[in-house]
Formats: sequence, C-alpha cells, structure tokens
Amino acid sequence: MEAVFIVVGGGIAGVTCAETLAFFEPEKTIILLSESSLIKTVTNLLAITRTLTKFDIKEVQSSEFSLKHPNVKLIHDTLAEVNDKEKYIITKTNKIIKYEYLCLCTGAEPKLIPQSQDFEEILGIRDTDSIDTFIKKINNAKKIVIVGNGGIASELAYKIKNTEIHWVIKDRHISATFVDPGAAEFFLPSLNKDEIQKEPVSKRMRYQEEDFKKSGAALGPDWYTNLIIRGAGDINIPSTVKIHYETEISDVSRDKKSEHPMEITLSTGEKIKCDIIISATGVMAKKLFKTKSDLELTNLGEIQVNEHMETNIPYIYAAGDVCSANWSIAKHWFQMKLWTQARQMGSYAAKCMAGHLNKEEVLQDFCFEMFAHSTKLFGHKVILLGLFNGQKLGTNYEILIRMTKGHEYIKFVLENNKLQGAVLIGDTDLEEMAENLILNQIDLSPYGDDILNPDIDIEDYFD
Amino acid sequence: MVVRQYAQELEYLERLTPHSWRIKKGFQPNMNVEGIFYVNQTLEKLMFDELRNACRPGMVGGFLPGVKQIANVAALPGIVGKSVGLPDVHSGYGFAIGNMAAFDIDNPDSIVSPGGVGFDINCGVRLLRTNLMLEDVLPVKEQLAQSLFDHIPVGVGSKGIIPMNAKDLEEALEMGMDWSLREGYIWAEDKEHCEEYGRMLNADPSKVSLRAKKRGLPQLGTLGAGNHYAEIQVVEEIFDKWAASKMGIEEQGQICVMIHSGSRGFGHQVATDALVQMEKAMKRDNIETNDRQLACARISSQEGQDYLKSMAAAANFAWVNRSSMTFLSRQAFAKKFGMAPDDLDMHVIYDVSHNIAKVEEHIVDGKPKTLLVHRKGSTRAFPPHHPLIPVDYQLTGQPVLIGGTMGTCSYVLTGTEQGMLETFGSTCHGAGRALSRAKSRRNLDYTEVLRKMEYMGISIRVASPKLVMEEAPESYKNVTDVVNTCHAAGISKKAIKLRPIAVIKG
Amino acid sequence: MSKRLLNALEYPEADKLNLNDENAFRNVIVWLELNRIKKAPQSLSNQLKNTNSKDWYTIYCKYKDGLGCPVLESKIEELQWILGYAVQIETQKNKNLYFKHAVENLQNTNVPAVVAENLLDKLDFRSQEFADGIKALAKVLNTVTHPDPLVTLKAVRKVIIQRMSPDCVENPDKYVLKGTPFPFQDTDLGFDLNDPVLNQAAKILRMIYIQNLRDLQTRANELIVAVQSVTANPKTDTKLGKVGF
Repeated sequence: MEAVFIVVGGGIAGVTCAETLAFFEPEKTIILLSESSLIKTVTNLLAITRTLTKFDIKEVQSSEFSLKHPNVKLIHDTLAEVNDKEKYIITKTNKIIKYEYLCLCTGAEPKLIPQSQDFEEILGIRDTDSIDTFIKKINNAKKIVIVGNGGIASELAYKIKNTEIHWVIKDRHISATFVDPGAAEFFLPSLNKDEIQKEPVSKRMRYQEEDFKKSGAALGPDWYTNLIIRGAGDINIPSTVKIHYETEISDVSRDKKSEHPMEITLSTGEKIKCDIIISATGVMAKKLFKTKSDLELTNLGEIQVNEHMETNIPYIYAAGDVCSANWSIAKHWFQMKLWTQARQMGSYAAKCMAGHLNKEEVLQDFCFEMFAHSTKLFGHKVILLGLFNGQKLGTNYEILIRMTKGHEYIKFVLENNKLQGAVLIGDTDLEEMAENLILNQIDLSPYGDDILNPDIDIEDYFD
Repeated sequence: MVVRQYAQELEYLERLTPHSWRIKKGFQPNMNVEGIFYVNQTLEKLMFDELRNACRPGMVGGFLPGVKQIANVAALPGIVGKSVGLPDVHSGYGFAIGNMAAFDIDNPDSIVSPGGVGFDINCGVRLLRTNLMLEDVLPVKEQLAQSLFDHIPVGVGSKGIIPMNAKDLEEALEMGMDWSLREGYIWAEDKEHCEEYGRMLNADPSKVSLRAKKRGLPQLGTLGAGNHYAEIQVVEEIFDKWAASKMGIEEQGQICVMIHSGSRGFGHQVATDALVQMEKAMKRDNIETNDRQLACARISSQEGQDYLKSMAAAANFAWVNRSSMTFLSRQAFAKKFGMAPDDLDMHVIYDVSHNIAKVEEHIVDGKPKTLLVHRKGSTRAFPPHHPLIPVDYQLTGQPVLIGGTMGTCSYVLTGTEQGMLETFGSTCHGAGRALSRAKSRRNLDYTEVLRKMEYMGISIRVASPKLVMEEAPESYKNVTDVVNTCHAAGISKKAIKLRPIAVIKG
Repeated sequence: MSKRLLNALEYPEADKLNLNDENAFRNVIVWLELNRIKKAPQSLSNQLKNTNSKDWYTIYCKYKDGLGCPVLESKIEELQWILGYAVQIETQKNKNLYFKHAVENLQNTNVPAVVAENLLDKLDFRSQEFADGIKALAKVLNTVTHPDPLVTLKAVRKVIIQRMSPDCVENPDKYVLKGTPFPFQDTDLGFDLNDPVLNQAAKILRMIYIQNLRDLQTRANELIVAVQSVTANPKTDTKLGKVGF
C-alpha cells in the first residue's frame, strides 16, 4: 500500500490535518491511520476574531468521513514503526504503507498521580473513552476527590452533582491553568450549586464500538455540554465542593469494609475518605512507535518541530499535543496543549506539506503570532488572549480589571502601557478590540484606566 | 491644553441652521479652518452632554469628545473648507468616527493621516437586490441564513471554496475586484456599481509589510472568513420612487442582502505600520498636531506615498472580501430557491466604502482643486451627473448605503448637489458595527478580587466610572435620527428603508 | 505589470529583475527582439546585441521607431509598450490554443468579408438629387431632417439598422427598450442656463450622453465576460448553488 500523505492519529490534529490536505490536494491519495474507528471532526467552526475561533467537535463513523472526503482513506490500526530511510511505515497488524509525506499526530495521554498503578479507583480523565467508564463508576459514588487544576478538573468540579466533592489543587486558586486568582474569585460562587438542575439528556452522539482495543483521542471542547454527571445513585444528597488549596496527595490507601473505601492523605496531613479519586493533572506526549533515525525530542518526550511543523527527519511532520514548537516563538504566543492549538497545528502542517509538495512558499500561519483560546468555565464564556496571565513578563507588568459579579470579568495585562494579554469572561464583546490592541501594540497611556471605563463604549473606537 | 468651563466652550459654538453648528477658530489651538457638525435635536443633546462631561474637573482623560476631535482635525496642515462632523460622529482613534476632512494636494504642507482613514481600511457595505418577496423568503428564512452560513467558508469541510495562497493574495491586493472578476467569483456588472470600480490603481503590495500579509492571509486558505456579517433585509419603505426604481427596487416587501465587511486585521496592520513611520516623519518635517494620535506625513513625502499605496492595497483586499461574500450569497440563494442567481436578479445595487482616503476634484472658493479627501465613518455621496458615479445613477445621484447596527434598520440615500458643496460630497455612514452604546450601570465590587491577587506582586488598577452622570448614560445614536438629520440638512436624500429579517455572522 | 508580462513571455528569472538598471533594461530589449519579436533587420539586431556600445541608445531608438512605438515619457513605458507588442505576437502565434477556450464567445464576432467594389462610392453626395432622396427617405421613416443631408443619412441609417431588420420587424419587443419611465423633466440638471429652451436642449443632450455611456459600459461588460470564459476558475461556476465542486 502507498499514499502521498499519511497522517497518524484520529484526534483533532490528525483529522484536521487530513481534512485540510483533502481540501488543498483533492487529487492526491491520503491515508489517515486512526486507532479508533470513531474519529473527531470539527463542526460549527466560527471565527470570532482573526486569531480566535470557536468550534464543536463531532464524532463520526469512519464510513461517514470517507464519504465526505473521497480521497482520504481511513485505516483502523496503530503505528508501530517508521522506516524513514525507505519512507514507509509498519502498523501493529504488520501492514506496510509507503509515504511521501508523513504527519505524526499521535496526541498525548493523561498523566496520572503515581499511586494510580495500585488502585483502580483512581481514574484518569482526558479522552472520550475514559469519560464513559467514568460516568458508570461515578453513578454510585457519594464522595469524590478530584486532583488537578486544569480545565477538565474545573469542569468536573462544576458539573458533578449530588455528590460531596473534595477538590485538591496545588495552587492558591482554582483553575490556575487558565485564570488568575481574581477570576477564580469571580468563579467561586458558581461552585455553590444547590439550585435544582434540570436533567438534560446527553445529546452526545455515540456509536458503539466492537471489541477493539483502543486508546481514544482526547475530549472535545464540548465534552460536557448537556451532560449532567450525577453521583450517589438514587439517593439525594447535597452537592458540595470543598477546595483544598496548595496541597497534593501524598498517600492513598484502601479499606474495603469502610463506607467510603478509599482514604487519601494530603501533604498537609489531612486525611479524606472517598469512593473514587479522579486524576486530571495534565497530559504527556504519546510516542509509542519506533523510528529508524532518532527523532529529536524534548526532555518531556515531545517531538520537536520547526516553523513549518517539520521534525528533524526529512518528510516527517508532527502536529498537536505530541509536538513541541521549536521555532523562535512570537512574543504573544506560547504553546499549550489545547484543542484550539491541535486544530491550528493540524491544519497548518497540512498546508506546509502541500506547499512543500508543490514547491510553494508557505507563510507561517498568523495564529502563531498570538495565543488565543475560547472555552467555557463554570458556565461562563471565557476568552484568553495573548499573555493573558502575564506569561513571559515576570512581574514587570500591570493589571487593569473590570468586574461585575456574576456577569463579566475583564482583565487587561499591560506592559509599558501596551496591551499584552487579556482575559474576557462573560459576554464582553471586547475580543476583537483586545486582539487588535495586542497585535498593534498601540500606546494606551493617554486613556489610563478609562480604556475599561464601563461608561465608555470603545468597541469600534479603534476601527 | 487650555482647560475651560463648559460655558466658555459654548462661546465657540454657533448654530448655523436648525441642523448644523459652526465650530469657531480658537475652540482648539491652531485651527486652520472652522469646523461644522450636523445634528438634530436628539443628537445635539448627546453632543453637548458629551462636551459638558468632558469639562468637569479631573476629566482630562484620553477620550476626547467628538466635537473636540473635529476641531483638532481643523488644525492639521493643508486642510481646506471645513472639518466636517456627520450626525453619527463619535470619538475614535485620532479622527472621530464620522469625520470628513479634505487636504489640498497642491499645497506642499498638506498631510495624509492614517487616523483619518481608520484601522479597518475600506470597511464598507454592499447591497444586493433580489426579485423575491418577503412571503417567498419568510418560510425558509432560517434555512437560508443557515445555508449562507454553511457557504461562508469558515472551515475545512465547508463546501469547497477555492484555496487562496500567498501568491493569490499578492495579486488580489494589486487587482482588487478585478481579481475576483478574473477568477470568476463575480459578475461584470458588479464592478460598475462599485466605488472606484472596486480597484484602487495606485495599490502597491510591495509597500505592505510581511506581517500585514500574514495577518490578511485566510487562515484555512479560504476567502472571506471571519469578522464579517450579512443581513437578509426587506424593503420597508420607499421615499423616492424614481431613485428606488433605478436601483431595481420596485415595491415594499422586496428582499435584499446587505453585506458588511472590511479589511480587518490586514488594514489594522497597514495602519499600525504607517503610524510608526509617520511619527518619525513628523519629527523630521517638524509637523505639529494637537493630539499625538493624529500622526501624519506630508502627502508628497515617502511615508505619505507609501501609506497611500498600502492603504490602496488594503482597500482592494476589502473589495475582494465583499466580492467573495457576494459570490457565497448568490450561491446560497440559488441553492435554496433552485434558480440561477441571474434569474433571481441578484445584482449589486451599490458598494460603498466608509473608511478611506481618496484623491478627488472639488470646487473650493469657486476654483477647481485636487484634494485628498479623508472619510472616516463617512460615506461618499456624489450628486447626479457626477462623472465618477455609475451611468445607471447619473440622474438620481450616487446611492449611499447606511447600515444599521446589527439588527436595526438600514437605509439607502442618494447624493445631492448641496452635499457636494457643503461636505465635499460626504454623508453619514450609519454604523459599521455599533454606534456608541454605553453599558448599563454595573455593580462593581473589587475588594475580594483585589485581596486575592495581592500576593502576585503585580500592580493592579481597576476601572470604574469616573462620575455619576445626572441621567443614565444613554448615548446610543439611533440610525433613523442620523439619517433624518442628513436628509433634513440636505447633504443627502432618503430613498429606501430596509428592515433586517435575518442576520448571518461569518 | 512589466514583470508579469516578462514572466508570461518566459523571460528567465523575471522576478529578480531590476528594470531601472540600465544593463538589465538593455538585456531585456535584446532578448525580446532575438527570441520573441524578431522584426529587426539583421544589421540592426546585430548592433542592438552589442549592449556595451556607447551608441546603443541611438540604435535602440531606431529599433523602437521601427516597431512603431509611440512617443512615451519614460523608458519603462516604452518597455511596457514593447512587451505588449511581443505578447501580441505570441498570442497571434498561438491563437488557436486560446480560441479553443473561448470559441463560443468569439464565433459571433467574426469580421464579415469586405466587398471590394461599392457602387455607393460613386455617388455625388453634394447633388440636389441626393439631398431630395434622403429627405424623402427620412419622411418615410418618420425621422427629423437636418440641413446637411449626410447628417440626415446617418440618422436614417441608425433607424434602419436598429429597427428595420427582419427579426426586429417581426419581434419588436426584443429590440424596443422598455425601461421604467423616469421623470427626467423634473430632475435637476446640475446647472441652469437661465433659458427654459436651452435647458430642455441640454437635458436631451444629457440623456443621449447617458445612453451612449450605457452602451459603452455594456460593451465593456461583454468584453469582461468574454475574458472570464478563459480566466475563471471552473470551481466558481454559478450553476444552481453548487459551490466549488
């Protein structure tokens, strides 16, 4: 078997890469190698600003996907080895496929707390398959411990109802991956969720898969939409969230006879009994195949790529969570393992490969000029732009804030009176202006604090 | 700057007609000409409230009231006639949005200022007509909006619109709508109903920075994505039967499509690059302005010429954007109604630019002069018989498209002889996106947030309203007030009113 | 533009050229003549080849005059003209190739064969007989006469061409324009001659002018459409909502 392009990985980076290739090179053969027969595609993509997009993820059967992209062949298999000298790959089932261009989008896997090896009650959550197991297991849990402070941990703390939750975080405030302590304070009331929730049906379309040993792709940005996770079986108990700040789990033990069989010990010495422990502490690049030549990796095992998403081995590209940006990074951009960036990298890698094939010059995509991410936290729309937490700025910056409780939280990060980053929570309509102010580096000193004066409407001031 | 009491400020303002006010020299320092602004009673009150608030003690903030900005523009070198504020004027970067100013090209001191064009270069509106009626569209309105959205190429997988690479972009910047024509996106007739025939000939892509090009290049290799919107509209009222008929609008209930878009990020980068260059040029040529934001360069200088050439490229880019959206709208309608776009009579009525600077001939003090006319948030409105308007509108005057804020009414006006004389053939622009619309008072409470952030060791400021206004800060400028003022003042004439029935954001 | 034309003519490395450089300019001219235009006599082209000669400019002037290049303001403009000339030659050479793409549009515009001898050439246009004949013809056709019979003839010719063809007589609806009436009497002329009769005349001239302009514009549009049939990306075909493919 052979193909002009082989893309490895059925996650968002891989699928976007294959789709973009199909768009640019409708005449060429493309093979998408996916471990699962369900693949994720981006739908309802909405460009909010130049660099900011919002989209949903839909899982489709491979047959549906092939119908949409006739020149993409989907192969249900796992990559075992790359022979970069003779340009072919070998799969787990010993298929040999020749390529001209290869793009590695093998993603990442959840990083579990060390004790997880000994206890099946410790669940990692990151991908669609794990969420199913998770919902089943949680059905009867009355007491849950959540470890981790990223987006998924935050959403779980918000979404799981009818359960007593202990949320263990190592930072001084919640959701530290995305927001500052001020915004965390803004979110806190949302965790008080005694209000009666309507029971929506999970609208997530899921197809059953046959027995296929799989390691699914990561969760979509909408993985919890319309999903209410309810614990404690049929008994009604109050939903509570207790946050344990600046601490980590130092020990886990089990006592099968106890009402809550698990017991954790925090680094503060406090002990908590619970039924289940959820570990959502981030991800690690997943590279479980061999190559003839050595791929240059970071010390975290990510594949290094240059500004054209090329690895050190000719004709091999990489995109998404498995890669690490090894080019001179623009001031307002940094890499973060997010959906948004997986999509951007997948698409851009495809553009680069097509450009390489046709000997066309490809300008680096502008999305790498500025970090931009749109998400939902605790039921609020959250937009993160540029150096939104003062990343790279040390302490040499100023913060300008506007907040209305329960409504909006706006934070501007300023350095020398120029906007470097912004956090926009709620419907602020400021995203486009903030994006332009960061990219244009306009001197904002004449306006002082008035730039966020609620009585002055500046949406179109800089048009 | 001189700090004066409100009452003292008022001495510099004088009512000229029921719909216009004169701004006398001295209102701001070094004014070369007088200013004028057009208002009706409602807008007048907003205008004066804004000035009064700015006169309060401690109010020397960065946001100058519109009327002060008009006067600062009147102090720029080489300005002729008057600095004109249109009824929808509100503060913007450098020039107010809704300000028009003309500079004599033959005067070596005359300047060009990116702040007088705006960042979203050639932001504008295009109107397509159809021969469909409200009752044809109402039942399928949602599907139509959806299919328009499907066609707006916002993603991989959306039905194969044609890729655009770096080389295509270069050509599009040089050729404007001629590029869209060449590629087959639009009809030959579209070109004649477009200001400048959809192409500025002095565009020079080599004057545009690589960063601007990257910022303009569509992310996923498609055209027209992002930050644009279209409205399906219905004709609600016809004021001028003959003018409407020349535009192919025969009766109430007829369906039109209005497309709003500009050059967005690309234009922003072009303007930003120019501002940096011009600050240097100002030092070199000793150009002084009342406001640092009014950065400018002599028209004849290298910086001035480079800006005009790159601005023209950005203008061309915006026309290509509007053309791509035209293409997509025609496709969506054709698909929904199972008829070819020609059979649906989907012609472009007109296409206006309201953030642009152009070289035009005007009569100043009885003599013909070549001027560089800056229109920011202002639309060109040439009278009947003007050689630069399409042959089809020679008898009616140029159609002027006034887009409402998303979801409010829109208007079509026509240019008048009086407007040609008073405002260098300029009128209001309605609202590119939003007219000033202050938010309702907020419940601002920071104590807990600030306490939480203390340990970060970062200086934190909070934004809060400076004063409690005597009344609710309702500074929303209604598009109907704006249009009626232009009509009553005679600087343009009402022809058609349109009401949106669906808004499509792309 | 020049570079695009050079590229089209397959001039090597056209993108890297600096046409303001005298040497580059000379080399381009020589290349064009030797490879594309090939019109100069042997002696002239040999002289032209010697780009280092101090008389080169004089030779060049002789060469371009020989091609019929009009007097232009700069050398770049002259080059532009010569490039256009070369492109024309290339197009002629490959016209079958190009026509293949636009056959349907060009079929109708084929020039009719010219009749060598015309009896009308021998007519005496100044004779009274001619004048009377034209007058009578005009009367039949309901056309206003002009003191100069030749002007009347022009008007008569127009009426016949536009309204008297067999197809037109049979299907007048196809030819008689049915626009919406427009109250042009009420429209502002944009100026006032202080004489109602003169104003009326000026208005009529305006209307005629506008119509001529409209015709011109329509022809320009037709031209664009013909060009589009060659240049357009097939994916933009506007058949019933098929976007792309």
